[in-house]
Amino acid sequence: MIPLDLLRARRQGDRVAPRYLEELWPAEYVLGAYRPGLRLAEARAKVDDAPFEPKLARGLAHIVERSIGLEEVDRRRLTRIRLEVFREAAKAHPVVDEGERARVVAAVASRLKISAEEVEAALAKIHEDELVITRGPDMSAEELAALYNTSLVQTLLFRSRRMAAYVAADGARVKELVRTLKGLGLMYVAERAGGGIRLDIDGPVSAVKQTERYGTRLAKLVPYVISADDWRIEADISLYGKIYKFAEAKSSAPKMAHRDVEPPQFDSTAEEEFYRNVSRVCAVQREPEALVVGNRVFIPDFKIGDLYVEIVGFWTPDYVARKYEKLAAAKIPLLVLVDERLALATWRSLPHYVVIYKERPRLSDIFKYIKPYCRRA
Amino acid sequence: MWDRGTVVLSGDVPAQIRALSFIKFDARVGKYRALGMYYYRIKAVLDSLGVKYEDGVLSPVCRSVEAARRPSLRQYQEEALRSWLRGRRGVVVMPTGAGKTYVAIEAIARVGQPALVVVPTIELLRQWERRLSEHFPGRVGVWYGEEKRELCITVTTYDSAYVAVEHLGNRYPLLVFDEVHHLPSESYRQIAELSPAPYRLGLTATPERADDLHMLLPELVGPVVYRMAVSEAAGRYLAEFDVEVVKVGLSEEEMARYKELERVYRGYIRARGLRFRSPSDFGRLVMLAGRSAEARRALEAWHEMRRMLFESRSKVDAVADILRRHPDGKILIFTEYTALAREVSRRYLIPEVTYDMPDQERELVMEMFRRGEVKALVTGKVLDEGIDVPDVDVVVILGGTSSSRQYVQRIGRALRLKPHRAKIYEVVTAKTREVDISRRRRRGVG
Repeated sequence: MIPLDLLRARRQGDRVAPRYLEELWPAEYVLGAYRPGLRLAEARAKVDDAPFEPKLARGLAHIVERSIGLEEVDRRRLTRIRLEVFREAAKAHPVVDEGERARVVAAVASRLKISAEEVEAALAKIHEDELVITRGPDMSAEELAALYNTSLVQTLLFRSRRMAAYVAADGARVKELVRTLKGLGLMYVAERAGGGIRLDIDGPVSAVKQTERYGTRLAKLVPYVISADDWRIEADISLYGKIYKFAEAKSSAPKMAHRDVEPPQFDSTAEEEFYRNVSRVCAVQREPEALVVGNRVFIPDFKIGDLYVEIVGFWTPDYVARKYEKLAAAKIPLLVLVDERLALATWRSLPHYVVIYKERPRLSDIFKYIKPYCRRA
Repeated sequence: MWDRGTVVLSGDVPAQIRALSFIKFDARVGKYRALGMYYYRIKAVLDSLGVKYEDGVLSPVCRSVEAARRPSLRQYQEEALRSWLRGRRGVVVMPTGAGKTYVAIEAIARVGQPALVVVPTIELLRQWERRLSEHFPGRVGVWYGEEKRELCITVTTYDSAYVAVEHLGNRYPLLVFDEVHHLPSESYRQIAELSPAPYRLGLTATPERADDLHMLLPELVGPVVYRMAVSEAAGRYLAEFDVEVVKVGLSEEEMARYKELERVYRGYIRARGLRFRSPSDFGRLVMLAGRSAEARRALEAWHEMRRMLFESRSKVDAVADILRRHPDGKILIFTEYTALAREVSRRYLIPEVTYDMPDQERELVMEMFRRGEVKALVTGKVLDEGIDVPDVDVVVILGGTSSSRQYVQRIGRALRLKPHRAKIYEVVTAKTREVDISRRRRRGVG
């Protein structure tokens, strides 16, 4: 993500679109500016002199600067030397000519047993841009352009009031997206759309006031959305006191910087054991496609043939209550495995196959339910 | 119920409540919802209807807050406090240096409930933490960037509060806004809107904003309950001051470039028939620059002119003369750009207090300046507001905007009561628009 003042966007009627970087040479130019051995200020001066739009140059530089290495300095030591200089100068206050200045620097140098150059260096190097680049950017022009274009979409979303994201992806990806948006304090309403699901995303305050306060959080969801097999983003963007529509889709967007999704972790040992045991006899799919129940996303733990399986462990009452409501409303062939420590009676009334387990689900207890759906692994 | 900046009403919601303009039905959860700030009005309506209800909105961080030591207030401070206590909402207007902090400390002690204090900068946050701790030892926490420690009284910045109000909002029945003129801006105002705090106190030297948004303050915080002008304070509680304008010239080369830029800028403005009466007029130019290359060039010319004026070499030279004239006085130098602060620091070996500096060095330097171990400081915008730098005798302004608020705050620094008159220098570049800026900013002050 780059700062809002470096956003490049084109407005046309009631629509807004990022001005993507389509050529590679500006990216190459900026990458070339950050050569090891130069001071950061020198590299930035080259960026300022770039033979193309300053906003583009600074936006690219913003991304590049996150990947370079700078010489390491002990800032506490620099501060100690600097304060020594200021104290010495205060004794001779005011220090207004070059000779007097040199005398102060020399006095501090001899007291600290370092050279006058080292004192001057300490005075300068407290400023980040005086530091020397030790490691250049470790990316190609293509990668930089993809990162930049992704950042433009994100930065545009800083000013968004709500976002609709259509994603077609496996359950693991959708689960990660939903988990992330909840973790950010956002809310969503889901519906089935085409081969995937559509999430309308905003926050608690959105119901009573149009606000851009969730914009930076919506922007953080972009990497999760664009790593789906197919995706589309729609958003209302507030710019210069007007609302613009923004829409982008996988088919029309330039190459973006993808996010690798880690292989899904098991939520509990009960799940892990279930998977290990059952997969010996049947083909089991973990975190199958996302379903929509009511207006919420529901991703059951497993799928065996057409049968979904959900394991309900011993968790906070609030979480379990929400899970119960979701399961009660789900109209799919479903086997629910419930930890016996949860209140049992209500769970048995679910309109699904229900098996109560102690410590962990046993294959012998559940085999009769999964047998009709079981295909050899 | 409290839900991240909003109040959610469940169960049978009376028609009189549903009819309130600020209550909306939220189809996502099937319940009624309102912004946090309306909590008290909802409660008042429910009480007047005699409805039984369960209230889970506020969840204070401590049960009560008691002061270990009460501040002794000056008469006008006592008057301001009494006026605020009538409704426990409202804005107190006092010049910098008149002791607004003590009014707030006593207000917290009288209300006796947890308070969230919102300030513009980390420097001010530290200063409030220090002051509050003298009166409420062990009860004062801070909440910003790296340090998040919530206690009965928590000091935070506007930036942090904007984000944190979703989690912290319902834990503090009293909100204190220092430099409250920041609050009405588009995003900061949400701190007040999303908080359910029934009690609110705003402090400032100048509530008025050039964009007129201060009109929102009565709803966000409450009306102005006490006002004292700078001219009233000067001589009675604060020092008197003299202003001297020092004119410096641009080098021949700089002047030629300046004239060239001025031609580009003025040419465009005239061709377009633009007029600048207020900052929002300038916004029009910024907007046009987004569309036409010509406007963009005019805007760039304006920025470069500004940089030339504020960074010009002769200004750095002029500092030498002023330093020489006050070998014993404490001197505070303000610049518009940190580059100029850096140059002044390097040339005269004066500590700089800017955002480029590590926090630790900034704090140590401020401490040294307070103790008199260093006699001068150069700073950018960090110290623009309310930071306590006692006993400054000389203020030097090397560049700044024409906004008179910034001006009042900067001179406020020099205004602590002392036996002799304080001195203010304004260094401006002759034959440029800066002379005009300087005149505009002094208008209406003192």
